[in-house]
Amino acid sequence: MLFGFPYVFSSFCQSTFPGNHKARFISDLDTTRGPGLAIKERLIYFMYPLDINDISDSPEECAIIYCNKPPDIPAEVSQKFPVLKGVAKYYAIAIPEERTK
Amino acid sequence: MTNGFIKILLMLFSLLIPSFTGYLFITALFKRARMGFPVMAALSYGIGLGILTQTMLLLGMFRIPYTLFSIYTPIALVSLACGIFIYKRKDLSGHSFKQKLIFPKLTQIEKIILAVTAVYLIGVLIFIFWKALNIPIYTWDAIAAVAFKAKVFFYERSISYLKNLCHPSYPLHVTFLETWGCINLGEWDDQTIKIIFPFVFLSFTVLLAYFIRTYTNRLWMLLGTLIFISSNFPVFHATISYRDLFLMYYTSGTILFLIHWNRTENDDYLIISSILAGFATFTKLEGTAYLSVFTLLLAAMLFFKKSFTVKRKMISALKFIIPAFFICAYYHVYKIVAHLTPEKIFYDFSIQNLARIPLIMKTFFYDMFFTGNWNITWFILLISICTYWNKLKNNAEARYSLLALFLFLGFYTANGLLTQNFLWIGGTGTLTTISRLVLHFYPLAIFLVAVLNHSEE
Repeated sequence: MLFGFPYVFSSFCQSTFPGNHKARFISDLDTTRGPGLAIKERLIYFMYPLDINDISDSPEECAIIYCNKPPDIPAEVSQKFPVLKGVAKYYAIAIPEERTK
Repeated sequence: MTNGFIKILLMLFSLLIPSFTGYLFITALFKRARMGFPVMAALSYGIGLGILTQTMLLLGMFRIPYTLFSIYTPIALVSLACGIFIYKRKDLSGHSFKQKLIFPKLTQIEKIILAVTAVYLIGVLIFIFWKALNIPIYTWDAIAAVAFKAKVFFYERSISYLKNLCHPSYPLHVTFLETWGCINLGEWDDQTIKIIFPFVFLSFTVLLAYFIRTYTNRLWMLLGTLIFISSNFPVFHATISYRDLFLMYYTSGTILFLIHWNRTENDDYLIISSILAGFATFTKLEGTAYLSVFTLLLAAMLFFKKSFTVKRKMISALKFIIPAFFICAYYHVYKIVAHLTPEKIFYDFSIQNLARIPLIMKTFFYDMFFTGNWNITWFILLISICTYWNKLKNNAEARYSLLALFLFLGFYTANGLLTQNFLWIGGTGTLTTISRLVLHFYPLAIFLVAVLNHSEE
């Protein structure tokens, strides 16, 4: 597969929470340069219409966690999006509880 | 869920309709521009897609959502208006319907080169169509900007988020074409929409072959086509989602039509050239800068046109300047009105910058002569110029194509000398850019090689 994990993870997130949604992106990648930047750009592209790059003006509806180490998730994110669905240990999408019903 | 074959048919239909509009547009407006059907089809593709993307920009400006209906309606209206114009003119022959298919007698050498060219062209086309349609978008600029913007426009059905995307001031021609493709498919598919690139490669090959045939002979038309299709870089760009192949089509097309106008003095070709120049400005930011190259080339042509009165020269200049600069201004004015952040250029006139000149020249020289991008075209060109110096001085087509090449190289030298773009032209970022810059004017080198080498006898 040309893009490997970022593509698989993006497809998983889209199928878990389909539709146009703004998402908070939580990551420990260095997204300012090098491989981290490349992964971030791919995620932005593959995830859309899950918007992880602050493109739309709408409020956040979920969070995307893409970390190599245990993530430091802000309390308000855990409160708003308590349901975590992941493909690997620290790679997950956090969604509101009502969306799981 | 549509299957692959149906998707390709839908994509072909989505390209056929604007191309047909382009055909009617050229037929209606340029009665005296007589070209055969293959050339008309090749030109219709570029002009038609240009009309389509300008329409999409207009709809975006007025916040009209992108749907099949909202985009097809203005396209259909343009086609209808052109059709009525052609009908009222009582000239239903168009450009080529009356032409007869002629199979000329070929010499032995022509037969061999024709066979080689045909086999090679089929092989190249199979490769580029296969690669374009089987490998999704993967290159950096496509993912970060060109295709990503198209994806956002497709899902939002508008350009309202353009200001929040990276490089918002970049022209949107290719982005809009990808959005348009997906609107026709009904879903985002970054494999099928790449079909636009093999077609622009094929269209330009036809245009180049036509112009070489017009100014040389069948043998050099075949050889020129063979050189072009055996050059790695245009072939590679026919399979990825970059904007440079479209810019090559419009830029080199503009110069070739200008040269053709200079010979024929038929102003229809001048206006076609101007429209292509305008569409170049909507393809990449470089296109706007190339307007200066086109205008300087036209100024040189007009200066040496002894048969023209001053009034005729002024009219010709306006016929070129008005359409090209209008299309260019159309998007740039929108960018100002929409407060899109412009790409910043910092000028630096310090004397130390003169040290950049050898670096810039070295970079271009290395790319042209010592990479596998351009076959051995630049070597052949160098040898041809040395061998046929006298012919070069006496042949207007050769002179002006060489002048155009120097103007492009001069523009980039000045750009690297005076701005921070030196990073991309002679600095550390050259690996990713310099070949793409050369691609925009590369076909002119092939044209010049053919013009210089063909025998008049």
